[in-house]
Amino acid sequence: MSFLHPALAWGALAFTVPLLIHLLNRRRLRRIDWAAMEFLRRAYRKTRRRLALENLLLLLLRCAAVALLALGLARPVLEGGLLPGAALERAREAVLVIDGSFSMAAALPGGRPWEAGLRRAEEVLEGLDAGAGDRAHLVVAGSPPRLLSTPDPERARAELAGLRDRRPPAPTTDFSATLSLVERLLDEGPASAADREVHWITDRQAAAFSDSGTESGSADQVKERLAAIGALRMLVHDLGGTDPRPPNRAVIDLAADAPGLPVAAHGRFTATVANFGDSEASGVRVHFLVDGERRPGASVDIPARGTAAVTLTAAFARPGEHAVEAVLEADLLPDDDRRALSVTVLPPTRVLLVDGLPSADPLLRGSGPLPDILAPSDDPLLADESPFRLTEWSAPDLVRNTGTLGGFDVVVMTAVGLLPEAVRSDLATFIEAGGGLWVFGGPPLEGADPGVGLGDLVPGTVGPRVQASDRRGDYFRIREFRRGHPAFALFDDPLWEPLLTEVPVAAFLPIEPAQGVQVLARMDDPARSALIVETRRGSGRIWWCGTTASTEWSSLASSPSTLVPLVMDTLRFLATPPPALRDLVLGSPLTLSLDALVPRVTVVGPDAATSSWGGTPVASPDGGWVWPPFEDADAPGIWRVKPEGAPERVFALGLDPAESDLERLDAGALVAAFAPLPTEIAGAIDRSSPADSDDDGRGGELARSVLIAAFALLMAESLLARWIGRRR
Amino acid sequence: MTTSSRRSWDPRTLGRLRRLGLRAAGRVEGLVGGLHASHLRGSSVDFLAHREYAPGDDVRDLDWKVRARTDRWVVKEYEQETNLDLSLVIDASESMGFGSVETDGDETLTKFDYAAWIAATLAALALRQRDQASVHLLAGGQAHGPHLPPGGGMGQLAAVLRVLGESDPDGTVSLPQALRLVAERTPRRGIVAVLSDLFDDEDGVLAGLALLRERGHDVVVFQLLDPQEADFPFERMTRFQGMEDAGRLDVDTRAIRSAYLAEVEDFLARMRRGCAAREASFVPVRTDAPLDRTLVRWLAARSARLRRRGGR
Repeated sequence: MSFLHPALAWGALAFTVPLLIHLLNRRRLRRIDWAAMEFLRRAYRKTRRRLALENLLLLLLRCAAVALLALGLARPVLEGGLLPGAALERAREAVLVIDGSFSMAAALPGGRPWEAGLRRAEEVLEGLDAGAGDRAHLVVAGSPPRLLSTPDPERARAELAGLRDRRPPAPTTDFSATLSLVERLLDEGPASAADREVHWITDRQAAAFSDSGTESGSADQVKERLAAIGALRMLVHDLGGTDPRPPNRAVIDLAADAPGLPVAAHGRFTATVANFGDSEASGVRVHFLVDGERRPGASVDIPARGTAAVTLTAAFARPGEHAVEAVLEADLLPDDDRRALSVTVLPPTRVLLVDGLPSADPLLRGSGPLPDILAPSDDPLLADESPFRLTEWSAPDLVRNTGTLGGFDVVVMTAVGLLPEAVRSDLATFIEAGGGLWVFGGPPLEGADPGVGLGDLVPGTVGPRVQASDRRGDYFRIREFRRGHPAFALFDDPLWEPLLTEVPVAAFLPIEPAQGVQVLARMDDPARSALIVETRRGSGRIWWCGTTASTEWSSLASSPSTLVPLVMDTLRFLATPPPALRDLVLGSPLTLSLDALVPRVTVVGPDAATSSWGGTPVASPDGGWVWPPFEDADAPGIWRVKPEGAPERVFALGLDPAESDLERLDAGALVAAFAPLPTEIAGAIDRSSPADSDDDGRGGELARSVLIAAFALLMAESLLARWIGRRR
Repeated sequence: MTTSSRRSWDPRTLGRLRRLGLRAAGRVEGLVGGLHASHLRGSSVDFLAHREYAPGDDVRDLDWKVRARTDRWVVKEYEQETNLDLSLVIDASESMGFGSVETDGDETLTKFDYAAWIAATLAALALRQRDQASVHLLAGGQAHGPHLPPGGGMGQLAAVLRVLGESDPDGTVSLPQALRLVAERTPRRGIVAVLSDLFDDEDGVLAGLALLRERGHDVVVFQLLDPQEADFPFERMTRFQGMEDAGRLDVDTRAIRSAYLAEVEDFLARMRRGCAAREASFVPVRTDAPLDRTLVRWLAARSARLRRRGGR
């Protein structure tokens, strides 16, 4: 038997209180001179034995009730099953699991569960004696769980002291993985059948008990194996307070409409704020920070258990990585009151337009109106804001300038049906490295298989031209297109959809896409032929459009309201490199790869604290350098990575929205979460009290049993006293 | 303990009792003619019975009418009205000093006070109807205390009140022994009123009463109980210090109360039966009961009983 509050166990000496009261009452006898002593003596002699027995019984009941009450408050823990004799000789094997998720930092009435949990762990460790062979393993339940110390209780105490001034270190909790770690620790412990106990210190957050499964099986399977270990007690220390659903609010998402934003272009950012409470939150203030500069916010009403959206429109004057943050007024859990987004602002897209039929007349050249669309504005004030830098070449220019494609982001080929092998190879390398290629169909590509002339730059097998019989009255239209694709962003809106689907197409080259090629648009011909397809190759993309950019085969060129947004969005899409993993869920490591080796990389956290990115970078196959993951990003917000001599990287770390939902498991669900393990639930504690102070209602299952026994004894004493009183 | 200066006599009680008067249950010997029938046959006008003539009888008592009709010599006997000799035997042991009844003057009324009231009232009643009264005060350390010989008149009443007023209960008294001495010292038959709590050897007390009855006395026993002794109304642990060197006892009064009351009830029942068996009147008295009501009830019952037995 040990006590979680050993100091309170001394209170058991209070069993002497009824005895003292009895003795004091005897000292405070009323004295009276009495004549009828003979009657008194006779009555006394007749009742003496019965009265003595009754009084002794009452006294014993009172003493036992008081003693049990004190023992119950001291929270006894029965060790070693039902064999106390053996228990005294057996060492204890204790695993302390502290929920290290951010929800433990919630400012609940009375204090934060995190600090209370550390105190509770200290109390448990105080009951362990390394000299007696006791072992303690200290685990912080996170995702993944972390084993802080094993198996020395003293070491565990030292580690615990190190946690005292820190925030909860884990963004979320992986229940299954933590159970697996507990299983491993107990499994690797001494086989001498020491008394095994697991102290699970938690705020009862429902999300912390979801079964995500692990390599070693589901949580249920792990629990089955733990139960099979035997002599195991699961003691859950409840720090979750009384509110089953604390009214926390959080910014659960911050997203940009497009992955990359051109310089000076206005991007729209949408913050989603959630209310996890049971009542509506009115007038919640939300504001934004753009690169640390505060922008006007808005007040929103968030329904109970619902969300609301707040938007910001912002533009950035220089390319590079920028930060946008949405900030909510502070509430229970500060870590989820702000969410950051890393925004990549792209420089003007460098477009190489290769025209197989070059001409100054837009009606005669293969590229049709494309040069006019991509050219800078004639207005000198707006020229610098042009999102494109256009270079026009003819097909021979392309041949002559083989090896110079690295200066472009996208190559557009119109009316180009034949390229030398060297040029095709050059283009393939360009695409592999992340460049984009857009190939328009047209007469130069028909007849012989264009795959011969352009090689594998054509993502499929091109069929013979499909020609409308009467261009004026009989033409083809786009019947269906890939909704949600960035290139068709405008046409997703039903209002603007006809701009794409009603454009007359007189002729096109159908393509049978190769394996892995996506069809983005099909025509309304009987074969439902593919008109636009897309494929990834290396880090870049290839687009195929089966009709001409000029007016020769389609009316696209004469429909600027269709062609302009289609061309601009497609070129931006093709020029945008695959999104870098800059927006991460907290707990994920930061990654860094650079084209060149740099001597030092500095990391600046959300609290402006700086640290160095340690480890040795290794060369990557593409000629760059890759640094080992940075694991110390342990706070939500903007993390700026500053390689010396290279552009800054901005990482945005956000809390898992599930962690913001502070909904608690009730006692039954909590026991069920650990079933079939024998689980006892310790009561809520006063989180603001010092470690050795008393609290109300504290106690494990055993403590509750003891308190119930004390209450039963008091009831028995009361009933017996009443019965005796009536009989007398 | 009440002193003589604090003890007072209640004339109103006496006034209520006058019309009832004292009547001897048996025949009493009187020195002067009074209201009570005497076993002395004489020339009174009240015919009692005939008996055979014996030498020495006054021939004036011969009933000639009977001689003429039956040829037998019989004499007539008459009942003689004579004085009552009232002997008041008052227990003045320490236990009689127990009392809990508060009087109007914030004084405590002891059992002895109450006994003295009864005794004084009876004495006054007897002396007013020209009877005689004597007092046997059973005080501590002696088998019997001050003894006031029989006497009549208002002077005797003053003497009775003085003896009672100057006495306080104290010491230990053997009631059986005292009753035997009273029997020996009271040769004339009369009313013997014993006023005591009877907290003594029960068999000895009953034997003493029987002796008094054998001597022809009309015996009436006033058994006095204080309300606390009768009801035992205590609620907490109490140390009872026994009077008359009876030791002490620490008692949980609530626990023992029912047993104690049963003991008191048994005691009263035994004494009632014992007195009835010895033809003595037994009158239990609570000292919180009004004195006049106690005596009126007893005297009325006594008068009714005498009338049923043919007395006057």
